Amino acid sequence: MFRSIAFINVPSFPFTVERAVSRRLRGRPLILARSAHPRSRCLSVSQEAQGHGIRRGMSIADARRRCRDVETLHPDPPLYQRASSALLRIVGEYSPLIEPLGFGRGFIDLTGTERLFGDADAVVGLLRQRLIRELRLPAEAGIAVNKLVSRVAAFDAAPEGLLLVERGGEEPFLEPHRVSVLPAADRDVRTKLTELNITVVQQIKEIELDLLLYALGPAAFSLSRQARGIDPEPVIPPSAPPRIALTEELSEDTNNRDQITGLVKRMVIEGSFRLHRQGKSAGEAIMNILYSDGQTERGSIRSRGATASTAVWIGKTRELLAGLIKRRVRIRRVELTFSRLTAASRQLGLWESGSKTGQEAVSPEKSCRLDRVMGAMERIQSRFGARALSFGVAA
Amino acid sequence: MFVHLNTHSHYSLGWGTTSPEAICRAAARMGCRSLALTDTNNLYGLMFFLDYARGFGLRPIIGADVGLPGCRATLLVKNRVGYSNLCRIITALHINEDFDLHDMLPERNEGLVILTDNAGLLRLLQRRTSSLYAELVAGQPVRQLLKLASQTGIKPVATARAFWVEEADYHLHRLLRAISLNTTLDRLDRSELAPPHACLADEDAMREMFNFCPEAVDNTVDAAAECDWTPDFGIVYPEVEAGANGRAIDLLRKKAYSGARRRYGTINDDVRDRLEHELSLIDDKGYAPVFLVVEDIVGQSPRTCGRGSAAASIVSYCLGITHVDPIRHKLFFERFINSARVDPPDIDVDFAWDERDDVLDYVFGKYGVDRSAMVANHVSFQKRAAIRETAKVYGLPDAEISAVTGRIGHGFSFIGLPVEEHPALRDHGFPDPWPEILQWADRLVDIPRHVSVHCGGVVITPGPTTDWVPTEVAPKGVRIIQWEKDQTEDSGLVKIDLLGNRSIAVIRDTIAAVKENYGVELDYASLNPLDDPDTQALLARGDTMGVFYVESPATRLLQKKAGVGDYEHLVLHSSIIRPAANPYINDYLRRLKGEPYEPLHPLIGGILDDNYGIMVYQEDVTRVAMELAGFSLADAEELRKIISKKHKHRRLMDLRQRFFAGAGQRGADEEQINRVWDMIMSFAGYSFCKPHSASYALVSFKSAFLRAHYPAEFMAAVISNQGGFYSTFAYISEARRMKLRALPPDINESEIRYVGRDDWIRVGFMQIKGLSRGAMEGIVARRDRPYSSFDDCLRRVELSPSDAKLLVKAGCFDRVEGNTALSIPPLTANAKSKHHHRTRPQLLWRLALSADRSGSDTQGDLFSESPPSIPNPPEYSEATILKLEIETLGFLISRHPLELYRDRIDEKRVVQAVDLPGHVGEKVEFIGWLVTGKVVTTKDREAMEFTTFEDTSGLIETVFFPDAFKRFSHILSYTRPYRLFGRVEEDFGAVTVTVERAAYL
Repeated sequence: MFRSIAFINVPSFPFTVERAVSRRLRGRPLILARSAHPRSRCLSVSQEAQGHGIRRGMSIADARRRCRDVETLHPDPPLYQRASSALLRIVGEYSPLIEPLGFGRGFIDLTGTERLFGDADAVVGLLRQRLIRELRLPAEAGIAVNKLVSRVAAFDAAPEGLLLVERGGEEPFLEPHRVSVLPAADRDVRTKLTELNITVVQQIKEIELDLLLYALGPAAFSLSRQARGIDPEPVIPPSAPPRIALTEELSEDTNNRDQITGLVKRMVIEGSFRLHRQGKSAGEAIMNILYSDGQTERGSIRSRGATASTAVWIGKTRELLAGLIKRRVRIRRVELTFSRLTAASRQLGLWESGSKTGQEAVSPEKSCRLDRVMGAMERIQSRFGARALSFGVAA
Repeated sequence: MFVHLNTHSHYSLGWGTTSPEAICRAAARMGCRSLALTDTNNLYGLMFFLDYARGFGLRPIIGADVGLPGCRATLLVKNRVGYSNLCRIITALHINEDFDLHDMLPERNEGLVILTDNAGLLRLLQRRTSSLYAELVAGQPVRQLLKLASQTGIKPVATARAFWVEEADYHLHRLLRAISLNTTLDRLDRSELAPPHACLADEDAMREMFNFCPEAVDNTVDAAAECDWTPDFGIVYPEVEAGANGRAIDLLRKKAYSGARRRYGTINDDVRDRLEHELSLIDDKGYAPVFLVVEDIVGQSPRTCGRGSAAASIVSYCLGITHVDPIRHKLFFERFINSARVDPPDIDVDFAWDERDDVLDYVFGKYGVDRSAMVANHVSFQKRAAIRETAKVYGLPDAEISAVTGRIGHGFSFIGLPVEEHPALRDHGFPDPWPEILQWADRLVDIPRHVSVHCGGVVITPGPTTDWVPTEVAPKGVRIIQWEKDQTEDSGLVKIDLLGNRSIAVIRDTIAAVKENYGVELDYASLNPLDDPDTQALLARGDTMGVFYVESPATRLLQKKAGVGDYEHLVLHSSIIRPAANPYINDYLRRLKGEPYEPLHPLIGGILDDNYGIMVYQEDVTRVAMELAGFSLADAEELRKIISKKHKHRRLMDLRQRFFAGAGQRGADEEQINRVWDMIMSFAGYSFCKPHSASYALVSFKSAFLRAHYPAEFMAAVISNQGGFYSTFAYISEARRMKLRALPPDINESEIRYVGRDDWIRVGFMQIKGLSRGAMEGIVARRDRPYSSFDDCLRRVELSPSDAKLLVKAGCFDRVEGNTALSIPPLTANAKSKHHHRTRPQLLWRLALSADRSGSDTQGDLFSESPPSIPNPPEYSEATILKLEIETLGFLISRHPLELYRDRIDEKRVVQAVDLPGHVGEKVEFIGWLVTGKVVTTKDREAMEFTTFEDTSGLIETVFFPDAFKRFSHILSYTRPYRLFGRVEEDFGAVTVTVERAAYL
């Protein structure tokens, strides 16, 4: 059986959703930024704002200088999540195999659904109509036998909004496209191809794989395959990752270590709260730091045994943070992920003291007391929110 | 009574916040009578300190806070021996990796008062010196130290170990520490900071702090009383060998007469009288060793330019130190040496920039590294660096910092505006934390941040240099003394400036190319084209881009306005062009064109007649001060010297008062005196003496001659030697305007440097960004016959893949591979391709295959002429080729960048540069590419800019007056064309445009 894959994309998803909610925003130049601070950066820029020369990554101050009327929106992940879930719910009525790619876009495997719903293009057409009617979200879509071609087709779909690449037509469809549409053409590969004056997919096809290997190394294999429209990648439905991830974007970037330590401490408390609520313990904390200049730093630290103890993770993350911050540049965002999750056990180790089970430097009595405190905190937090009550932060 | 014995100025780099002047002022205000300056491991500010301390009525005590972490001592100088010991200890600390005070002080404590809080040192030294004190530092634990002092009988002494004067300066101290340690304010550890109260406290505060041990405060007076010596070295001459029983002056006389015979043929009375007069003064002053040393150094190179006031000396001329005949050109020896002169003579010699280091090696080899060293340069924070460093401490990313510092330019301090008000930043917001950053950056300005090497100053001492001054090794590996040029001079050390000069190398290279190309022999020393009509005409037209010293837009414009190109006027122009003399230049031009004028004052009479009644040269200041205000020669010379020295401001104000009083007594009215004084003050910043200008003008003439007669060779040498006033792109454009073809790099035709001949110049391999030196040398060395193809080159030269790729991308193989993308015909027949046309992408394919297979078994057929099935991609698009030119060369070589905008330019009715003279008085629009710009301030301290644009027909000199500068300076850059609207003006025949509006094309 031949596969039938569709790629659905709601362009400028955050703005489309915001405009679906608020008519006032339609046609206005918009930018998305974490805070209204003049140094805060544009995370996303609407087409109208782009017309004024505003680009992603610019500061709000710069954006306002270019367009006084530009409106700043702050990201509303719960809203986007709701909109994306609603979109997936509708899409899910037509196929059980859906692979979301962030908010507002994803692959749908329609293979074998013809008898139920008709041809793939009819299904996708219907889907698009329902998305507009029910969610006010206009979507573009591409249909082909694989993910690669359907995705390229979706971006080619304007103005009709839907493009079907017939089976067997993948190669000629891709030929005139620029090499950058191929996922295997990463930055290094693109640089080499540009030097060799290979700019469109068709040129790659014309070169023998052996020669391509000399020029590009192992990347040639996938590049050559993709240039012929071959992409065996299946549509993979999302699986819930066994981890708890927290992200904090600072309203104003800072390089004040106390401020960052305090922020991480609060994140640990929140993470610990979620761990307790899910009855889990974490064996590892992974921290990602984004500096103002876009550079990132990543590190991880493990505990000796899985634990949800706030005290343990505060100590561990402080150690991790100290090793991670080496530059003077300000920090814009901190991501903290608790991974290696296991079911929490309240039972103390039979032979080991607390220090060997991850409860370093915490006596059994103190641990029990802490647990009781945590239990009380959880009850309050469950009712009033994770930040309603937290540990104080001492410098 | 109490004396501060441990005080640090901003010369304690990265720690101290306050200048010696501010410290002395504060100490005097507190009622101190003596003060020790004890910077950390250095005497960087010693001469300034002595000067200011005396100025504020303080008795200066010389010292230093010496040591490494864990063991330090405050060493104060009692006498000459102690001073030498201190210099040697500091030098050892900087030079010996295993330096330890425990080893040094037992040997070198004579003449020193030693204060230390180190128990080990106190025990070690207690029986070796009586001038030993236990140093109780304010804010540090003292219990153990006091106990030790009472056990051993060593007297305690209290110090503030002050690093600042005002308590509020603590934050500045933290900022300096954070910059020094490359960290942020909140990450500074307490051990990396001075205590918060390391402040210059008054006596009451000190007594309060040390109320548990009042004798420690009293003992400061005893310690200070031991230190009653300050240096007075006189003039420190180098030592020369004058032969058995010979005197230096005798040897000098012999050499001078021998040189005179060589220079003049026969020695007439004028020459003899001048020689005898000078030799007699030189003998009186004891300067002979200096002449002999310089003559010896100059002998190491056939191409030099002796300059400075020494060029007024016939002895210098006869010794070959200078090359301008002082008799013929009326240069007065007294500017160089006179009976009133108390400071050392000033002899500067320029060498070709790439030969200078060899000369320095000779000096250090001959006189010994212990007796010779280079002068230091104290590098202070300037506005840009201060903003950048502060912003880094505050954690701002590079791009955000550069968006500010890149706009304000290096000369920003000169404008004197707050950064927020700089017109070039009018669209730039300054959100938090910028206001705080800018505030603190202002405080950093002028604080020294590191020490480097002066561009050419060398001192040679008769004994070990460390008898006079500590030395250290600069990062570039050269031994330097700890003083910069002003303090060197104040100390009496004779500074000989041996400077690198790019134009001498340009002349050398042009002469060599002329010989190679046409067989014409020119000699640097005898090339004296002062009367050459073509050279004079070129100078009179101001066609002087690339010509030494007269290529800046301002000088070119002056040349054009003056319309004269003779040597005497060129000498005058070289001096009058200084920044503060603008108002007088117009007076000069009017008078040159025949306008009558009166002398500045009848008392001044005709002494300025040669300069059209205007003070042009430094010696004019001396002469006018003597004639108008009745100054003695010594005072007038002092006035001349201190005009531009910031640290002598107080003395300058004294002299001003005397000048006004003196001139008033001689009948001058206030308006006249003010006018003359303003003219004198126009010599602040920089100015020159006539002998200096005369020396430089001779080099200008030599290089103008070469530009006039051998333009291709000359322009190739100008670009090859780099460092000119303009960018390479601007010189290439100028070459095109000179009707020279600019040819791209070529594997068979290019040399490492640019080459020129007849009507072309060829880009050298040096221009290809990132190409290794080894590749350049390999290509040239193995080119015994032309390379027949890319493969042939790869076979014969060991090129790395990245070098080979750069050569391909730069188009070096275009012609040998028959690629006519650039449509430039080959210069020589043997460069013609015998192969099928191969494009650059094809060559890169070839390279990719060969690079990948070079390590494999198939190496045997690696360079076969027809490797199997290489893909055949098309040649790059025109846009890509232009992009590659910029990527590999840094600019477009195949065409002027404005050609890329030809369609849009042709759509508009714009005036070309060459046609501007026909539009004088009219408002015009032209399209230009920015070449260079200079921001200056008006009398009202408003910023404005003189800019030079070019189009394909010529250069356009423009002015952005303050209004236009405010509105448009923020859009100007060197990377795109502009539409400019303005009025065409003509001034003394030179055409300029006063810009009223500017816009992107």
